[in-house]
Amino acid sequence: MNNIKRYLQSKVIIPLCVQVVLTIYVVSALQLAPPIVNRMLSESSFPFVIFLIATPAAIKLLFDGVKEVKTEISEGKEIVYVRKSIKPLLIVLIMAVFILLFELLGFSILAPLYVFFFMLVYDDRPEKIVKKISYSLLVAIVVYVMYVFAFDIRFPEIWR
Amino acid sequence: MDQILQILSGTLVVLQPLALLYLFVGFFIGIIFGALPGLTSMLAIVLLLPMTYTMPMTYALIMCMGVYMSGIYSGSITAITISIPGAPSALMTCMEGHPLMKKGQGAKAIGHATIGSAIGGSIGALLLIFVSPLALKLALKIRTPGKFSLILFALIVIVIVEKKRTKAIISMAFGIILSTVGMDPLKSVSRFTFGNPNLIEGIDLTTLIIGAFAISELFAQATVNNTEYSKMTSAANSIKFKRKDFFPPLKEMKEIGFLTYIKSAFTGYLIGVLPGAGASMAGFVSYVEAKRTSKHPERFGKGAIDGLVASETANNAMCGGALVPMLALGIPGDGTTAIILGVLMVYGVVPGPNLLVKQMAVIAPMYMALLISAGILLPLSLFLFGPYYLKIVRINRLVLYSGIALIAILGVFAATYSVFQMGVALVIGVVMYYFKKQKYPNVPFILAVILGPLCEQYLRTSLTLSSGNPMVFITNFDSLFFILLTIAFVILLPRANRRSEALEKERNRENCKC
Repeated sequence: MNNIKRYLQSKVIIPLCVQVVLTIYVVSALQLAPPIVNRMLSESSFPFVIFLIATPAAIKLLFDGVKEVKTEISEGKEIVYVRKSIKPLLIVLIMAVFILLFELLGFSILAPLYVFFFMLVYDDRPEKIVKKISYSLLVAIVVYVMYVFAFDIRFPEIWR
Repeated sequence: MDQILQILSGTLVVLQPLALLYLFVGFFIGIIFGALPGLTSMLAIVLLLPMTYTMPMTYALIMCMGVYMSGIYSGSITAITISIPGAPSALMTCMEGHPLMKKGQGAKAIGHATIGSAIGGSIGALLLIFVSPLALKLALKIRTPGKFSLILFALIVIVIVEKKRTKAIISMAFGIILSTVGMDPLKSVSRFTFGNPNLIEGIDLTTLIIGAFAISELFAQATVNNTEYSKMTSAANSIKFKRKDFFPPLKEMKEIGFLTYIKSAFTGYLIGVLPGAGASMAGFVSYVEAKRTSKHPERFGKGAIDGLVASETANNAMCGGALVPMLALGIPGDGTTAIILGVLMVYGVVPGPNLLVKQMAVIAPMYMALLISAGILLPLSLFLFGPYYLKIVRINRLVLYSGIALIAILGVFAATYSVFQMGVALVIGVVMYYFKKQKYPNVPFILAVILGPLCEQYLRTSLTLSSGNPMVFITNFDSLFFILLTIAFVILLPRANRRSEALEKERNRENCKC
């Protein structure tokens, strides 16, 4: 069980995911048409070629990853659990929430909050909150002026 | 004659106050993004891309040229002062510049880097102006099968120049997969939309570029410890240089030799023409050549000014070279020119021979902007702002990255007016973040996004015209030429790569001994 856990690393998982994506890609392409129809290339031909080129590369990377882990196990290397930073995950969450609420709440409400939470995540300690709030407002105003007045972009607003 | 007149009128366009303002804005954005570790001139153009939608194209291109030239140059500032290359192209500058800084000659090293960059950038821009008519004549001879073989050549070379070739193939495949989403280029069939009407028009180029380069970088920067970053950059904050310290003595420039400047500029330019090679390779090859021909190779790695100058001259000369295949053939020379190509595409301009024939008036100011950007490096950096460049790292990192985060995500909305595309950019950003962590190169991705659809279109059109006969790629002389060129590169480039890797290892060993 512990050994299986050791295989769950990016160097194994990423090529595996790539292979899955490539398979879905080629299957959905082939559902459209065979690669050659009446001696002519169809809409699935190019995706099929990409699949043929990328699959050996993905398999090689997968084998390389598995081989590396096997070597680690055979050498009896201890698993070093490095505490991974959750900051990238928090950034994804902030962005996802911003995107989901953007049309509903609009720029003026969301943008300063978005910038503020970004600053909180980027900083090591949640300190100087008042300074962060003022910077967030300032950044939101500058970006609004730049986009709306200089480049004539219309953002959604709650009152619109 | 016609071209000379158009170049002259292009000069007049760039010299208009508004155009100069855009050039200077671009120049300073490039300086800031190039000097700050983690930010690059490519990211600066990525963020500017949605803003260019409402600008006249000429001004957008002028601004991009300012960013491009100054962004490559300013990577040397932090490379010299705090030993962190602001841009990857400044790696060799770091090797020689930081030891000089430790000896108290940091300002002089920046001065040498500025002069080298200005000379290299100017020669590169001049070669671009004078060589593009020749490139145009050649480009006009290329027909559809030849265009396919040329793109194939570019894609293969991009993979070969990368150290991790298998990963480069995956990165490229991912780019092509994303670029094939939407309507088929030749038939009215939608592909890979999985029933989602939002995907019928495909994934917007801006969404792809911002997701892959800006958003993924924001995730990567979140893992950087803010206190440690402040400590690293505090060294630069404490340095105080006077203006006169930036002027290198004439004796040293004579010692470096006129030939080093010229040779490095030509090397950088030629490497720029090669698709996918980029500024880092230009700097590296020139550095190795400077070491090979130096009277004092033992000084390299300990503060050799000729090594620093060779690297800086070459990486700025590369800018002119990288624009040649982009404008004449629609094949970008590096990641930044790929995004500049994106700017052209936003305006519906298709690069290629026709662009240089029919729309030279649009392109001429861009040539001149590149030349002027290289020219103004000297007065702006040496006479005016040199001491202030060192303070760029003082910019509050939290404010900067939070601002970039807002500009990036709003940029997608500004370009597409679609919340769905904002979500797609986020997903692409997450995938590219994991790719980046596992050292999958990102230049093949962006070039695949741009060249993939063209590659498919030319392949299918060629085979349709030849009734499905693949011999069309061999029987056409232009196509055969590129196929033979591809074979030659496949054989020769890995050898050159191995040699440069061996030299790099040797250099690292020497550094360890020191």
